[in-house]
Amino acid sequence: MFILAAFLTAVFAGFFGAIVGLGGGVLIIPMLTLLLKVDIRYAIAASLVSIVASSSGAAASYLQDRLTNLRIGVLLEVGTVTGALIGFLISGYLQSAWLFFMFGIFLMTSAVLTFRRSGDSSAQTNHPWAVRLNLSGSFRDQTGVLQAYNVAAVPLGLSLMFLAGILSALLGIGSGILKILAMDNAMKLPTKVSSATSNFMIGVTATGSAGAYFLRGDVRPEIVGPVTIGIIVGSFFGAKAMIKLPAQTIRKLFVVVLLIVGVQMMYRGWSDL
Amino acid sequence: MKSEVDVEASISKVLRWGVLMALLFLIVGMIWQIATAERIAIESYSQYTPTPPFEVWNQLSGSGLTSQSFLYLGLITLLLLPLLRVILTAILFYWRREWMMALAATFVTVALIVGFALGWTHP
Repeated sequence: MFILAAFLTAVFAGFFGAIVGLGGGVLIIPMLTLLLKVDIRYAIAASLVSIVASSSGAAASYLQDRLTNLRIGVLLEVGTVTGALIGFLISGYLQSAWLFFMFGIFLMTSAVLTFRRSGDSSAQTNHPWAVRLNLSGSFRDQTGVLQAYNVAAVPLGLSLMFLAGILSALLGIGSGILKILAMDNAMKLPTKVSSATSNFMIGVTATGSAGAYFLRGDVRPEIVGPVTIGIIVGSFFGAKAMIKLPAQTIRKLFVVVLLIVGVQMMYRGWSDL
Repeated sequence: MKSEVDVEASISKVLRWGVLMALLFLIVGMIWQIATAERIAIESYSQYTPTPPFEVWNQLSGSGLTSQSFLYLGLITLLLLPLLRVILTAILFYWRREWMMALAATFVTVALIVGFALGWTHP
């Protein structure tokens, strides 16, 4: 019974996560904890493993699209994975109630950020580290013209990735939205490059804490199995449906859902205190 | 000579087969659990009682193949794939004498291994 319920929940989370581009983790944790009464620590660990599976499976596609900047990805993984380890250590000292609170705040912030679409702002010059590590790159835009780009504020980008890694480990999310914001706004990368590079990095970031949670005993295979398979199935159909559905309407609806679920998560945290 | 992105894409394509294999293990484990009527009530996981894999391993040893064996095999495969990817990425950069990038990839590799160790030592 539990396996089927968790599977259907994950299909739903994966489907809507793919349509709005936030990933399955954002929905699966509230659904597992609020609907199926799963302890939030198990839900976080299950979500992280499903992120590892989705990202590892799709990494080849991210690279082939020529938008992913491999060198930036590898460098920023230094920040995200270190953050993930710190996040894991912090999680040992936090009560579940605080995790619910933090997740609620994260959901409400994501709801606002979903509508925030900043235009591309390019860097005029490369940061010295970008020159040293040869980080600048180019991609073909929609018209097929090759667009070169510079990379700014590498140390700031690394610091923000460290924070994204902490949040990923604490809340069981990919932190994609934060990674993209950091690369767009701090490092001045084109949005398409930020999105592709963020997707490429998410799996390694999640492994940093998922491995630790696994050996601590938070990863329950009876939860992870149906959640991982369900999210992959749901995301597959969500990505296909996204083309046919009115994305803007769904996005608005989703923002309302995120706000409501965010309040519910915070209420649950309050009740558990 | 192939670009580093092409080599990395080839590595990722191979790893995709690993992901498929891991998912297959998970599916077999799930079906086995359902088929053998190992019924799990909806509220079974509302209490947090961490179960390290080594404890499960001790319980399973001697009992032959079970649904848990397949589920854990799938999990371990999934979690080792990204580690394998960063190891291969580090080798790629060392091979191309890109020392700083190789150092970054090595750092990530070591950090992932430390992550596993932390889980083991921080109950």
